[in-house]
Amino acid sequence: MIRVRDLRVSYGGRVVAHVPELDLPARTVVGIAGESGSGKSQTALALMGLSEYAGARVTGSIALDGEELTTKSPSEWRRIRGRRMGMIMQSPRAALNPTMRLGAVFSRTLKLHGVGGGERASRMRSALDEVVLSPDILQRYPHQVSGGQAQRFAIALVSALRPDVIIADEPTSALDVTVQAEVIEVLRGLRDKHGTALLFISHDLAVISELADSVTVMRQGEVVESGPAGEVLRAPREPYTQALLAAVPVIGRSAS
Amino acid sequence: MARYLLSRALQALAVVFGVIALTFVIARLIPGDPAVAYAGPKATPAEIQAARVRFGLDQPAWRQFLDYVGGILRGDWGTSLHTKSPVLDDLLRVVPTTLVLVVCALVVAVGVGVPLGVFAARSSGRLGDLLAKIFSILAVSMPVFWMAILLQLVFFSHLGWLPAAGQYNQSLDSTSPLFTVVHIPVVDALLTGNWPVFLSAAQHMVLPVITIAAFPLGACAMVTRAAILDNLGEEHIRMVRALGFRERSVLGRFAMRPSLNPILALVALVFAYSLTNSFIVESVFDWPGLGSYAIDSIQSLDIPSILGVTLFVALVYVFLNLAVDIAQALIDPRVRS
Amino acid sequence: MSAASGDTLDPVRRSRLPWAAAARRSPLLTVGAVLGLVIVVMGLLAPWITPHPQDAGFATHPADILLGPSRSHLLGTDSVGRDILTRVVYGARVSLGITAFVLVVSAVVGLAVGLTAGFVGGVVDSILMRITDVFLAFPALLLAVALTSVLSPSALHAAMAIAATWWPWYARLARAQAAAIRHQGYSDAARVIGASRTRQVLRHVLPNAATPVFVQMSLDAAGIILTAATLSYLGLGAQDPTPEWGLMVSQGQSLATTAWWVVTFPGLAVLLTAVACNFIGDGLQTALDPKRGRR
Repeated sequence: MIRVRDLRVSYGGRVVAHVPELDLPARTVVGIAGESGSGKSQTALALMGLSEYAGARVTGSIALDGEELTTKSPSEWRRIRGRRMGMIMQSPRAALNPTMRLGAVFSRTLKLHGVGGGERASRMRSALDEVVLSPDILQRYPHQVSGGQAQRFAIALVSALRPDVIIADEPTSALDVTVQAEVIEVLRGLRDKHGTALLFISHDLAVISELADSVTVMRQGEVVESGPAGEVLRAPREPYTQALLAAVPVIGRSAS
Repeated sequence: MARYLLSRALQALAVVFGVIALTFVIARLIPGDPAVAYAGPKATPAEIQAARVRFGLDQPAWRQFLDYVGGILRGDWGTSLHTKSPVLDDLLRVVPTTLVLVVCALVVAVGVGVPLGVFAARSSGRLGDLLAKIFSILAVSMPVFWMAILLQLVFFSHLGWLPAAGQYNQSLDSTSPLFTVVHIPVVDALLTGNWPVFLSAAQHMVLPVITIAAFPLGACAMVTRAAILDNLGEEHIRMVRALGFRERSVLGRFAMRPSLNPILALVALVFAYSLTNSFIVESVFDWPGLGSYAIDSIQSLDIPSILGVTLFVALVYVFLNLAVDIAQALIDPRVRS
Repeated sequence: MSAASGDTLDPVRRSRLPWAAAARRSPLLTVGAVLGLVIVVMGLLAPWITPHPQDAGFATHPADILLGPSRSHLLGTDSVGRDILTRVVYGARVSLGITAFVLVVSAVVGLAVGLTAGFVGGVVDSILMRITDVFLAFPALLLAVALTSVLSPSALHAAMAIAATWWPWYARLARAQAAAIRHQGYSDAARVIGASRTRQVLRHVLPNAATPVFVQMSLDAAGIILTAATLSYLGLGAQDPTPEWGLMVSQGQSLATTAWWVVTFPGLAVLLTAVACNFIGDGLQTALDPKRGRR
């Protein structure tokens, strides 16, 4: 599905993220762990082709089903973003336009991707069903919903386009613990039901351990450790991973 | 929403009251006796006394103030010394002529300024942005009186492309007489289908409109650019990019909508500013509107008229701000709560 | 912004920038600063660098009336034969003097009112801000007319009238800053250790409010210069023989078709001074507010 080789993201010659190797097959969840500044979010932006909007330069190779993405033009990228790859952001309410009703964003997005007028309402309803939201939410503005609702709405919005890959950048960090569990459940459901591949980025190894099949740990822009989730989490080789794990409360670790 | 609007309306009312009070204070501070001024230089003491009683000047100050406020609310804004007619009648006569200029100028300013700001935001940090910024700063730095004179000098005196002054070429009256509908030639010509006069009137408007438009245009471009750039860093912009929207709708719709509020607020602000700018522009281009009226009043030290104009512009400012608050509450739901 | 996670958009940390870095980010800042410096220095050195210093006053030279630009009179002469270059250079003194006066008066008054409103809050805040709104609603030009009819038209009275309509902007700005700081709890620590209110305002609130006020002042200087010139153009400011730019334009207006230089150069001086101030203000804003300045 996604195959990353020797990816480098740099700002004015300074490399902020370097990923030698990362594979994301269908129906799997890959976790990227690391503190802020580790380059994990830069990697996510690069995979979505959004780095240049932040003024960054990307080199190396990103392939989606064997198709090289780093050489795509902006218009070619538009056919990939949303339709084949979706992204979920950290601050769910900030990720929704404050001046538009949620329904307006949703139906514009469906329209953009060629969903006809008649079909849009039913597509929205079934997508909201999957994330356990009532259709009333479409009438609301972002400031009128809770963080958990907004994040589930964002997941519905992104998954309604049936992307093969969803990149979730710290999707639970801005939420409190019970709401985190809901969001993780919804994401797990997406993978099980639609076979979506999920790149799950978090500073919280406990959250990653709940979902991920394999884990990559980043620090200061470099990958320090990667492997199957069980191995990395049970027997971390790098002191940095050990330190990250030590920061995880015991309850979190027992969940793996 | 209703509570928010009510509190804003009450605030506006308080400001209106304050504005009226301030004009009253200024009127009292001005040296010279209005009764003497009204009665004329050859008046007898008895005539002056009669005028004093007539204007209530024999009353205590608080009484005079209440009468003043009551008069303004009833539409009695005093009598102009230089036209000898009620100030409010004068204002209602000249204001529409000015509004034609100011509204056209603001349409030009928003129509050019906002796209220029979007362009600058799009090419942010590159040459196009720099050029747009230099252009905008030049536009807001223009001394209005100087720009008006220079435009006249270049386009009338040297090139002869555009007329220098007036509302239309009055020699057309013999060939295509103008029927008055609202007493504004350009509108009358349009309504009655008098194309020769309309064309002439439109030509007469080009230079004054450009002069008035300069400041709001530059300001609009800069505010639009800043507001869009403020929004471009937001996560909701990254979100819609990640959803596959083209850059044109990302900027033109998703970044623009939250940017409308600062732009609207600016338009209200520059509207009042443009009204005062029209004073200069009208006197240079001999345009018989509020500005010419104000300048005539200033030159003849006609205090009731000057205060009338002041009060009018201040009221326009207050009400526009209120209107903007309402519009902003409609655009951005966050304002309401 | 994603400042919370810190590693998303802009990994190059930018805080307060030194002058050189600010100038690099905004080329206009450099241009504006140089232009502004030239104008200030020219104004200060006017008696020594102008070719005909006596022309700044009541001089008349009947033989030199309305001469076009030439080697002896680089910008020509006016209707009584005075050297325009000399008068334009001297004009910088008048304009900059008025600007400095208005800025200082309105910043001091505005800061006092705004900080009081923002810091005390409640009823005091409401009353002060409504008063501010009243003055904000008043057109500067018309207040100046009223003021000059009470007093007499002069540069000082024009400056006072402009200040009367300008301070409310500073009051609003300072109030917003003070209120934000108060709510942020910047000075909570100070309150805990028992510092007096005055002391809090002086030590904590004022320095934080100063930065945006400074940016505002440089942008405002342009507006003040334009308003002052407009007032003198209308005969409500400086009077002849003061070499005021707006006044010079109005004196040359009726001759514009035959002697374009009389109106052109003083107005150009107004434009360039306003541009310099705006360049500086815009550049400072870009440098101090990385969000606005970023690509």
